[in-house]
Amino acid sequence: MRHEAFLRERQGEWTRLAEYADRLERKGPASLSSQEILDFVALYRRATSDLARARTLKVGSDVVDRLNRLVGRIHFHIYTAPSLPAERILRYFTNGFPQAVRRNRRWVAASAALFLIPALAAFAAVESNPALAFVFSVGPEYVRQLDEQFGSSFGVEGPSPGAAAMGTSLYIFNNVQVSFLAFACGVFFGLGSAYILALNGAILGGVTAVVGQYGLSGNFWSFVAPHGGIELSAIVLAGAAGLMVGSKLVNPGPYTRRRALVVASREAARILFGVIALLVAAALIEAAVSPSAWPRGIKVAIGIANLTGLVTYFTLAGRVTINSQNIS
Amino acid sequence: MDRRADFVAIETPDHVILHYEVAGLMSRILAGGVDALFQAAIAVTMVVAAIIAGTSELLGWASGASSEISKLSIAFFVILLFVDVWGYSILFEIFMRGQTPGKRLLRIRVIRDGGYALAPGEVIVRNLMRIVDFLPWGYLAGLTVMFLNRQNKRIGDYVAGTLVIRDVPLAAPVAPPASAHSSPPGRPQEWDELRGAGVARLSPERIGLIDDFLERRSALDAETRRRLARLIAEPVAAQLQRTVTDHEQFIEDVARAVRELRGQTHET
Repeated sequence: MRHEAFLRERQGEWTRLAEYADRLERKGPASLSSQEILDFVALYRRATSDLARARTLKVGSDVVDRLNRLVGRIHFHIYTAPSLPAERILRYFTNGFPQAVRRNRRWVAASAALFLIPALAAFAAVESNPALAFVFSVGPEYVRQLDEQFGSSFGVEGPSPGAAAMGTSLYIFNNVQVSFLAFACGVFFGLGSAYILALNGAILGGVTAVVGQYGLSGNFWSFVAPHGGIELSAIVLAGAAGLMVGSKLVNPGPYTRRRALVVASREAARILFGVIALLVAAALIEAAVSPSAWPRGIKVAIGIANLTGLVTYFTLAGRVTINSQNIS
Repeated sequence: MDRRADFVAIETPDHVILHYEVAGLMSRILAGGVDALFQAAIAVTMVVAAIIAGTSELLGWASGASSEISKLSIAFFVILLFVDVWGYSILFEIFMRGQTPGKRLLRIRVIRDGGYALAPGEVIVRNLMRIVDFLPWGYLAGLTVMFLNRQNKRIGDYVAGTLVIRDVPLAAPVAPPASAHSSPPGRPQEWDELRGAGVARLSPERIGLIDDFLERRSALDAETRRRLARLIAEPVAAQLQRTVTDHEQFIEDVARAVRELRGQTHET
């Protein structure tokens, strides 16, 4: 019968195709010779039309199932996303990342404003009215802890260097968390990102003012300066990524909201790789340099150099593209 | 099978419709649980290693001279812990083609909508979105959303445009064993009689029905198989004016007669 003839005729190729797929999964594409790859792709093409034919002919559902599985699995390998060769990663940091930031500079500016305006407002408020410090749950007890923290980590005084180290780790975890929250909460129409940015901006502004009032600014800045700029950039950029995603839920443009969300998240991901790199860099500095006993001047200089470097990087890097192919 | 609720149909660039079985809620919860156990095990191993490496006095809040070396080892430890907490799913899904150890154990895999392999960006987005899926606690938001859509997507899957599917083992389609199709030899007389009785006049629909029956009968239970054979055989027998005792045998004979008839017309 036609079914039987169809199955008998095609079965040999399907088995060969499955063998190729098996080798591909076990040993990787490098295990196939160029001749074999051509053969493999040709077999795949024929199998796709076999699948359509098998459905039309209404051959047994088991055969359609298996064929569907085989073609689906190979489809996954053929239309695979490019892997992560070193060259691509390098190109991302020389071109892709700064370009993505510039392309979305409106969102970066909005995110920075949402962070910095509450920071300045909180700073000004606590400066003008020290009683407001309680708003940030920053009582004398907390300040004493901070003092201990900065003092001990600064290596000047303080009873427990272990506490300083653990404290530093907690800061790192917290800051990473804030960055990731600033992105993820963007899915609430961008409002979540705005909230996280404003809240953390206000806390930073408030604490900075309180620390100043207690005369601890020196220790504070020498702790914060080396990594602060990188960390704040990471938070602002993550917030911008969150706002980009959220804004597409409010105004999806020509797409459905569902599709717009996915398109926006692909663009956001181009910023998020960089955010993760910044967070790792900040964490390394925060763990190794910030709590060290290096002279205050050097630590502040490192901080200034970092900030200048970042601004230069985001404004200038990747302006001249060798060719138009950007990393995605 | 496209009518089953837990399948999604995807059209590939080659215009082939593929069906993927969506991973169930329970598989995903269990995979998540297994991964959480692995992550905890990694964290415990690192703490033990840190203690053995001699940083115990620093971890133990006890006072002691903090040398630069201890600080660096603490920094190293913290970053490893950070990678365990945040990087576990991301790194595994990037380097194991959409699978974490838990997902591999439960035989499920993350793919991009459209059946493509994941790009690293999608992995990062869907995993950072765990924060939102987790809200207010215990992945309540994510599970609720998963309940409410046919593709069992959590919020992170919607944002990243990904889908978790059941990862079935590969096997080439196999034609049913020959005996299931070709009638046993030795009944040429019967086939000649059937040809004489006019199998050529059977409608294509009826022949299709016979084909389908022979194709699938091995998957039927005995009772259904007998009943279907009778249902299919009786009208054919009536049309050919033959009396039938073994319905299934009769269907086989008719199929064989039709095939020989076609073979002949091809030859002439």
